[in-house]
Order: sequence, then C-alpha cells, then structure tokens
Amino acid sequence: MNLLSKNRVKLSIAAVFITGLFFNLSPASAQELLKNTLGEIYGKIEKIDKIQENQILSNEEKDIQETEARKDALLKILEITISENNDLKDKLESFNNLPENEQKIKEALIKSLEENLSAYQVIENRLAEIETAIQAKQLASDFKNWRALVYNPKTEKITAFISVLRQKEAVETAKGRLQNIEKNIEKIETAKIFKKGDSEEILKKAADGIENAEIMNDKAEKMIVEILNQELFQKNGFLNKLAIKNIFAKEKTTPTAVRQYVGDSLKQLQITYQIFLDISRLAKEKIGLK
Amino acid sequence: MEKILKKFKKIEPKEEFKRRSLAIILNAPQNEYQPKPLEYLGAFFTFQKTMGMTAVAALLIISGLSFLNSRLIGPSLVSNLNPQDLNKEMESFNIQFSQIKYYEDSAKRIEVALIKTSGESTTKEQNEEINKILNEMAL
Repeated sequence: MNLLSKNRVKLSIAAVFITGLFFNLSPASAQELLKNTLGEIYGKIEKIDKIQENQILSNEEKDIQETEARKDALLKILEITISENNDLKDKLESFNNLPENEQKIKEALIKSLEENLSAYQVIENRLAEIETAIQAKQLASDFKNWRALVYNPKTEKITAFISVLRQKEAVETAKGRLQNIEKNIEKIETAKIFKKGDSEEILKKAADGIENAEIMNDKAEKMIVEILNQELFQKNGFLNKLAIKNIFAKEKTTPTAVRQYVGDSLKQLQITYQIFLDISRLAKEKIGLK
Repeated sequence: MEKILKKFKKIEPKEEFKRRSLAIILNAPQNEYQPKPLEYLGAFFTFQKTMGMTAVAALLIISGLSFLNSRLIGPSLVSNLNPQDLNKEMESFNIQFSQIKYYEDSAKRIEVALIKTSGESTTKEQNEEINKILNEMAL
C-alpha cells in the first residue's frame, strides 16, 4: 500500500473533523448538501459499474481501478458518517439546564457517540491498507453491518431525543409569543381588529394549539426518556422491561412513535402561528401597521 | 373795528333755528354704540358657519384619535405580530424537524451505497432507490 494513498485517507478524515458540520443551514441547503454528498458517493458507485462493464480493460487493470473506486466511495461514506456523528454531539452539547435525568441521558449519549470513534479508526486503518477489490468489498460489508447494528439504532434514538428537546424549546417560544400578544388584548380590542368578543376566542384557539403541542411533546418526551433509560442504564439482566411492555401495548414505545408525536406537536405550532399571522394581517389592515 | 365787534355781540340765531338745533342735539345718542360680547358671537355664528365648523372639528378629533390610537397600539403590536419575526420563528421550528428527517433519509441511502460498494446483490427496492438518487444527480 503506497504512502500517498494512506495519507489521502487520513487527511480527508482530519478535514471532516476540523470543518465540523453543515447543519446550521436552512433545510433547503442541508438537503442540498446531503444530495451533493450522496451524489458524490453514488457517482463513485456508478464508476464501479462502468469499470466492470468496460471490455477494453484487462482483468488486472479492472481490479486496480475498481479497488480505487470502491475505496473512494468508502472514504466518502466514512466522511459523512463522521460528520453526522460530530453534528449529533454538537447538538447534544448545546442543551443546557436539563432536568437531572435528561442531563444524565445526554451525557451517556455523548459518551456513546465518542465510542464510535474507535470504529472509525478501525475503518480508516483498514481503508488505508486495502490492496484488492475483495478487501474493499469486505470492508464495505463490515461497515454496512456496523452501521445497521450500532450506528443507525443509536442515531435514531439520539435524533428522537434531540427532536423532543428542540420541540420543547419551540413550545416555550410559542408560549412567550402568545403571552405577549395576550397582554395587548385590550389594545387589539381598542383597534377593533376583531368584532367585539372575537379577540378572546381567537386567542383561545392559539392557546389551545400550544397546549396540544405541549401535550404531544410531553408524551414524546416520556417515551424517549423511557427508551433511553432502558437502553443506557438497564441493559443487564434477561428482562428488557420495555420490550415486554411493548409486546402487549396498544401504543408501542419506539423512536418512530416519538418522532410521530414530535411531528404532530410541530403541526399544532404551525396552526398556532398561522393564527398569529392572521392577527398580524388584520392588524395591518385596521391600523395601518407596516 | 371796535364798532364792528360790538355789533357782532348783538347777533343771535333765529328762534326757529334754536328750537330745531336743540331738538337734534337732545335726540342724538350720548355715547357711541358698543354691542355686548354675546351679541357679537351671536352675529358671527350663523347656522351654516356653526355646522361647518362642527364638521371640521369632528374630523380633526376622529383623525387625531385614530393617529393616537395607531401610535399607542402600533409599537407593541408590531413587535409581537411582526410577520417577518413570526415566519422566522416558524421556520426555525421547521428546520429542527427537517434535520431529523435528514438522518432518516441518510441512513437509508448510505445503506444502499454500502450494499453496492460491497458488491452484494441489491433488492428491487434498493435498485429503485439508487435510480432515484442517480436521477436527482442528473437534474
């Protein structure tokens, strides 16, 4: 294995650690970046197919080119995996003033992400040592299995936990917004933005939306805390209480259910903000606000 | 000269002129006429003028109150109901959620990429996923 190729792998991975991540972008930009990175990976995979179909190349030439193409694809996949890992760690670290049990979970999750680093190191070393297409294929297979068994389930739970905490912040923001608008209810009535008596009714709709959002997110929070407590602190023993509970439960306590509740909570906030925007529009019409 | 002056001393108006002049003087007003203030206003404010001025005053009061209203209500409502702020806040909530969606998409797509890189056979669904991504790349 030549030194140049080894250094290329190391430098590329170091760059990912240094540059951190791309997730403080707008959804459109983040999706665009994902599309581009995946596009690069799939571009390299397409290259593998083309090499295999090439009739002019000798078997030896095919093997050399195919090995490089597979290594390139693996390197890109490793880079994006490490980037995601760092992003999740940054996101977890950004939460302060959590209740004691959630702080404990947060710390355990950060530790579990740090444990991934040893796997990245192994993949990086093996990648640098690859000399044949068979070795590259084997590493891809092992990488896939590690992601399926370790990385993806961990990521799924961490993202569910993060989404619940973020949604909690969103609900608080919406509550603050409503309180400030409610303080102005007399002024809203004076300005005759609504017919007499309608102001209270409309603001009640907004308050109900926020309350529903909070109820749904509370359910999601309870679920993810239960899942992570089981996963992180009660692993020992034959009985996985949560798994047994889930067998007969009408509503399963899973990361998917958590995401569903968070999504429903978000929808309630969207409805509430639409009400705020309607009030804003009417205020603009009635009293000439710009 | 002295004779002439003595002669003037004896001159007197005619009896008829005296009577007429006395009557005119006695009938003339003793001071100039000064109307009372209320009479003055009464003369100035005719019905038409009063109605016109009332209308103007009402207009000024209404527009003044409306201006005052919007000045007093405006700033606090603006800060809490600013559509840009509201949209920005909503957008930030959506971003959080879309990032979670990103991880779902990414897990699936990278799995397919690793299957292809490992040379393992792909399922029909996975092939569709690959084609979808390649099509997106071509766009």
